[in-house]
Amino acid sequence: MTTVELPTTRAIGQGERIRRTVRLQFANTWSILWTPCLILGAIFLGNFLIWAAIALSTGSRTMEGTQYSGSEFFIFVYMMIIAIQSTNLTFPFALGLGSTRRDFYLGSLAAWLILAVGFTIGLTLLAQIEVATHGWGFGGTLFNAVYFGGTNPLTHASTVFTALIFFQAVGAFVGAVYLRWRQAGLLTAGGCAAALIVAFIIVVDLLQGWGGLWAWIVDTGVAGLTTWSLIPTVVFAVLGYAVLRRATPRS
Amino acid sequence: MTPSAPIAVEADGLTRRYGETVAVDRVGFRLEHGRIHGLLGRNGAGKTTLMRMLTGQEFPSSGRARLLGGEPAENADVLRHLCFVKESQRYPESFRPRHVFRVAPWYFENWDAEFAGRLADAFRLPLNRPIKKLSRGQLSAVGIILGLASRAPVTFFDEPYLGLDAVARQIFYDRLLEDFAEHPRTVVLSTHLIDEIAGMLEHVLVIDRGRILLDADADDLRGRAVTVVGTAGAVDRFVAGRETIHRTGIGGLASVTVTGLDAEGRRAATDAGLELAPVSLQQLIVHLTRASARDFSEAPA
Repeated sequence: MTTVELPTTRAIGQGERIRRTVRLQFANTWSILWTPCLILGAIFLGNFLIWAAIALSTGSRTMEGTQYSGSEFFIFVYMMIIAIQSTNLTFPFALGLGSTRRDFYLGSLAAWLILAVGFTIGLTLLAQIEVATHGWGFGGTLFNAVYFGGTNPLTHASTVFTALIFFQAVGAFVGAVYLRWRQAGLLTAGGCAAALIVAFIIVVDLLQGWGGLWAWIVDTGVAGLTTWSLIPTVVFAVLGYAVLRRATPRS
Repeated sequence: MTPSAPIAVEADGLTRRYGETVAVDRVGFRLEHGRIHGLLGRNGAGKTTLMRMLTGQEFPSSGRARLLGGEPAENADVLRHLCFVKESQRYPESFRPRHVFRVAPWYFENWDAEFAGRLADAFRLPLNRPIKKLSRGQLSAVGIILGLASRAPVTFFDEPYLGLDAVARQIFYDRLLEDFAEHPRTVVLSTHLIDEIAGMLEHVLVIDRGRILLDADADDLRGRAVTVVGTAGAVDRFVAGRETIHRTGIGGLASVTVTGLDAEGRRAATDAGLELAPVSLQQLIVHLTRASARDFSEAPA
């Protein structure tokens, strides 16, 4: 038996294969970039109008309580949904084009990283503008919500970034589980997660460690916790690949 | 098959089980490069599972699939030469056909954008309509354009014509043949519309219940069977001792399909006052799979 002689073609390295997956994920930037930006814009506008109304009726330029704003949280969940959806729909397409699972996964992670960097820069800039304009002129807080660890741009950026990539990694994992085992997989994974949480609570209870745990959390602070979150992020990203590398696109 | 012909696709003891079900059962064959192969069989015969294993999308339970000499699964060097258009190909959320055709050249080095544009016109495909809102036929057109304009050395089409009307299907067949003549490659086409594509196929694989029933060149098949028609007594005398694959009768008349009738046999039949009728590829396959003719000739909705 002779093998097929193909016209000599230029070599395509791993780097290029990852880059084209990134381009594939960004081929239509609407759902992954502009839609969340528009949602954020609408949320901001809504908040802004409320602050303006309060400021005009009370004459106050400080808004108590807006530092607990959760308006920005949707972006994290949105990132997770993008990662899930992409695995569900873009994965079968990429395989039809002749991509390997490995190149698809690495390229998708690279795309999510780029997206996370972009959102981090944007949100940090907005947070700084918020500081500079004293809460958009009305003392409101949206981008510097208390959960992000203060107005220092570096702290803010690292918190936002680690949170974004955490949710992306969870999304990549959940998407892979769904692709490979469908609903049964999700239920099993959910059951395992619940069991782990319950086990953790029981262990802490038995060791009477709640006080110590809270002390540790307060000690570690937001910056420390974001660093610690990198561990589950990496675990989810690696598990996601372990699941996806044997997954098959469904018809 | 000439022994020196290069082999594009190869299966060796290829098996896929899903629990108790054996979707593909110890399948072995070789497909020569540069030909159009038909993978024919009833719905659920195992065509799609077989194609998915040959293209690295499904992992075999046992046995081996080879594509261009390499294991297809997770083999980037082999997969770059492959395009696999599935019957129910899925596309990224929020994609429109123009996004699909923008992405294609990144993956197919032989992509012909101008050809893709002409095909889109021929199929009257709205390039700017969200994929989610395309009709079944328009969705099939996206896959067909992808498969044709990619000019991938190995192209698999899995029942690519769902929802396409007869005119659009003819456009697909015509363009495939035209382009194939200019840019020879290996095409594997799975279908149950056998009559429509019979003239196009050079090699035929028939799969039924996960097993290969027939693996032959189309030319050999065309003369392989013939239907003998005449009075029941004369027909019975003639077919005695011959291999028959199908028999019908009305009143005193009988119609029996026999295989392996040579020139001498044909003369004997004519001398016995019997009529000989050709058997189409579709009829032959229907007889071979012992299926009712209706299952095959039903056009897709």
